[in-house]
Amino acid sequence: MPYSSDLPRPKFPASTSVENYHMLFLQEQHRARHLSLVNEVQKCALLVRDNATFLHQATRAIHSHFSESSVSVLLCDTITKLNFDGLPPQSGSNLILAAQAGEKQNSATHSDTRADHLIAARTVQTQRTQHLEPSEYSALKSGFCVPILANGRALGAICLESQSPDAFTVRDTAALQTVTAIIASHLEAGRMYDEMRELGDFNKTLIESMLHSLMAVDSNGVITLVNARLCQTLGLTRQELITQPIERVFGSGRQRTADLRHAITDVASTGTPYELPEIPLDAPAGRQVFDVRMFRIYFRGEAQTILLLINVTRRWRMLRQMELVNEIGRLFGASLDINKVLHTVLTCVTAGAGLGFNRAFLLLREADTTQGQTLRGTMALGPSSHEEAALIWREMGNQELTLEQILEKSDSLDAQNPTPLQQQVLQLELALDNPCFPVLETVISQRRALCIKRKELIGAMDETLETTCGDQLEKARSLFTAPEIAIAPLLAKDRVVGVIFADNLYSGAPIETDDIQLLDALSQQAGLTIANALAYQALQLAQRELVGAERLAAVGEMAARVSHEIRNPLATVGGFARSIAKKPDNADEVRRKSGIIVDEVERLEDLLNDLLEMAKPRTLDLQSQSINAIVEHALLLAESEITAHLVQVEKTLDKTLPSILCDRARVLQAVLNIIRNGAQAMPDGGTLRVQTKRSENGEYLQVIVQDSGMGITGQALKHVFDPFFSTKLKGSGLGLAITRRILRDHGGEIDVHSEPGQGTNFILNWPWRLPEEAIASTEK
Amino acid sequence: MSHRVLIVEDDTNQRLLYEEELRDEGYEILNAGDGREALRIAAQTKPSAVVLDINMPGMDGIDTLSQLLESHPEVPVIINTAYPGYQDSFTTWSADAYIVKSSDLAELKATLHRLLNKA
Repeated sequence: MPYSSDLPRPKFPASTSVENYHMLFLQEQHRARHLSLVNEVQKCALLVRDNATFLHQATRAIHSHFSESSVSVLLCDTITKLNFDGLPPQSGSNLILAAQAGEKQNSATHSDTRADHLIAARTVQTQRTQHLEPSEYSALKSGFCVPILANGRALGAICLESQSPDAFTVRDTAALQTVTAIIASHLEAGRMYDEMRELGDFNKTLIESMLHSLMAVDSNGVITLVNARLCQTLGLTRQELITQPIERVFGSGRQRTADLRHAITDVASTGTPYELPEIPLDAPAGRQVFDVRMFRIYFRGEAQTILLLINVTRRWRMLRQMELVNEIGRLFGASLDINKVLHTVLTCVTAGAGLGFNRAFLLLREADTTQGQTLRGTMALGPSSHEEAALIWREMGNQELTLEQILEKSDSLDAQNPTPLQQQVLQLELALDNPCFPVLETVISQRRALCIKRKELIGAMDETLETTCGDQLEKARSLFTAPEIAIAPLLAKDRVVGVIFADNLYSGAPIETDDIQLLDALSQQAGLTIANALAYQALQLAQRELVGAERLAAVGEMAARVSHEIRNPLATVGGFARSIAKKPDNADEVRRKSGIIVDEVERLEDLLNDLLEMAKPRTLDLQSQSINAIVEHALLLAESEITAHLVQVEKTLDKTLPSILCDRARVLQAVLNIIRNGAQAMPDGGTLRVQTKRSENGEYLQVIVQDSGMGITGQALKHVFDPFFSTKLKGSGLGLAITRRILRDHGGEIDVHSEPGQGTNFILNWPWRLPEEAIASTEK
Repeated sequence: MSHRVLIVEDDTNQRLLYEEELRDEGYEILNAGDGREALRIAAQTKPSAVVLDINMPGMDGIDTLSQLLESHPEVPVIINTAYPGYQDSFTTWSADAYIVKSSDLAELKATLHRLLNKA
């Protein structure tokens, strides 16, 4: 193109020098115009980031420069797919017209367009500027295509076409090449930018949508990045986490945090990935457990640590549940004592290391009472008030005790001083086979643990039922105040032995499916264990009865001995009576002999009394009694004997002893027997020490009677409690046997220690708690 | 010379009864409250016969019997007990007679008479 349209043509033949100058001027003008084109395109490149817009603007700039020509920018479809999604696909061609400026002539035909593409394709293929060959066009007069090259790859081509032949000079080609190079680098930069942005978006989407929690932490342990999952897990916003120390996530004050910080620093400095398994976090949904994997990452110009938190709560829970069920099974097997078993069951339900409920109650089924089947409150575990709960939690605080440790700690359950909660539960009585607690029937018939709402258990009822259930319902309502209650039947094979209730009254934590599943597993084991313990208890009772039966057999032997005991005085009585009958006239003799007869008859009467005592039905009249008062009374009754034997009494009575439930008359007799026995053991006088106290292990209240008599030898000591075993000349030989029986009837025991020459020590152990059969005997 | 009868009996009134009744029969009476005392007395004053109770505190009649048989095999021993069960115990077979206590002392007196006049 020697002249662009806006340049004035020379109107006269000029001199050579003038022509030369003119040429020079034109060349400079051209160069200036080329530079301005380059400048303009460069400006577009700086101002416009978007490739499509940039291309249009650049194309327009080119067109304004080559105003007589049309400009087309064709791009390889591999490029356009990435950057020009808006463009319609052009079939059969791998080049797409991305921008165009300048009208093509009407004469331009379809084949010309094809020709366009052909030359562009050739340009792209050869990566060199191509000029239109005359054979390739019909209407076009001239044109050329410059490849858009970036990193040795052709992205497309820019083509100029003109209706005039030889419209373009070598300079034009060079100018377009320069501009094309700018366009190419901008397109490449744009493409890279887009790719970067996409990669960024991709990463961000990946991080945000991943199912694991992720965070980045700098060398100071400050959180620099968190993903949505982490925020969601912790129930905190990004703002609440970013720039916070890691303790915000992992909690403070634990060895674990120190380990964690150490690991984070280590990973950032060495670049070796690290994994901390099973780190518990307190989340709104309850305790969650994570495997924490750490990697080094360069982020914001420094080595940071990425923490990937993989939630393993489910696996951990399942494992722990299995372990727990195992552990519970082991603990259950440890004892056959019914009270210990029940206590173990409730500890497992309430302990943090166990199921972690706030409170648990255990009701045992009472078979076939007159009112039908009932569940009777037997034991309870848990705080009685919010204050107590808070106190316990504060105390338990950071110490994580195992179930066994907790059981050891609470082993001495204080039966004498039940907590308000225990009292409440002990009074609880829920009837089965009636419509008062329909939910109980459901639980029993479904044979598995359930979580029920409060109103399902003790919900509103019609008036008739309110009246029927009255008292029971009242007690249940005051006990079950939590909104949700876990309830599990205690099953032994096909039999329901009881029911466990558990709730989270104080923490208000919801009862989860997991909790119910665990309670179910626990109650199945507990049911069997409790049934075993109950069976064992029954066995013990049966054994005691058997012992009673053996005692009956002993009665046979006793009868023989009794006949001996009776025969002696009887023979004496009869003998002297005959003697009197033979010589009735000697008044002095008659008086003396009848005196002997009277003595012997008294002896027979004493024997008879003792025998009756032994044979008496063992019904105890239980009252709350002061043991000290009974001891004082016994000393008073024994006074004549004590005085007759010149015995000194030393009393040491513990005034702080509480009352015990006992049959006063029996206890008095037992104590009196021992005191008399002691006095009789010192016919030449001595000291009788009488003491009341608590036993060393705290289980018994003791009455200790110590004499300073001759003592009893080892052989005889074994038999002192046998009926009719006596080293004394007086008495029936039943005193100590009776005393021992009275103690045993009260669930107590008598011990004797003796050193020959040092005196004898009788210890009467009265239990705080009466055995059940003793209580049962009072109800007969 | 009248016969000396040693009465071994822990029951004081019983012993008194035997003493009085047997003295009326013309026997000289020695008294012992248990086995040990009986052996001591027998060692000092040899009795013509022994009336021995079985059920006594300290040394009982069975032990006393075996010791008497060793020290005084020729002295007849009458077991006099309220307990018929001992009759089946072979240790008592070595005694010369076995009497169950009764208010009627006729059997005791007859046995004594028989044993002492046989010699």
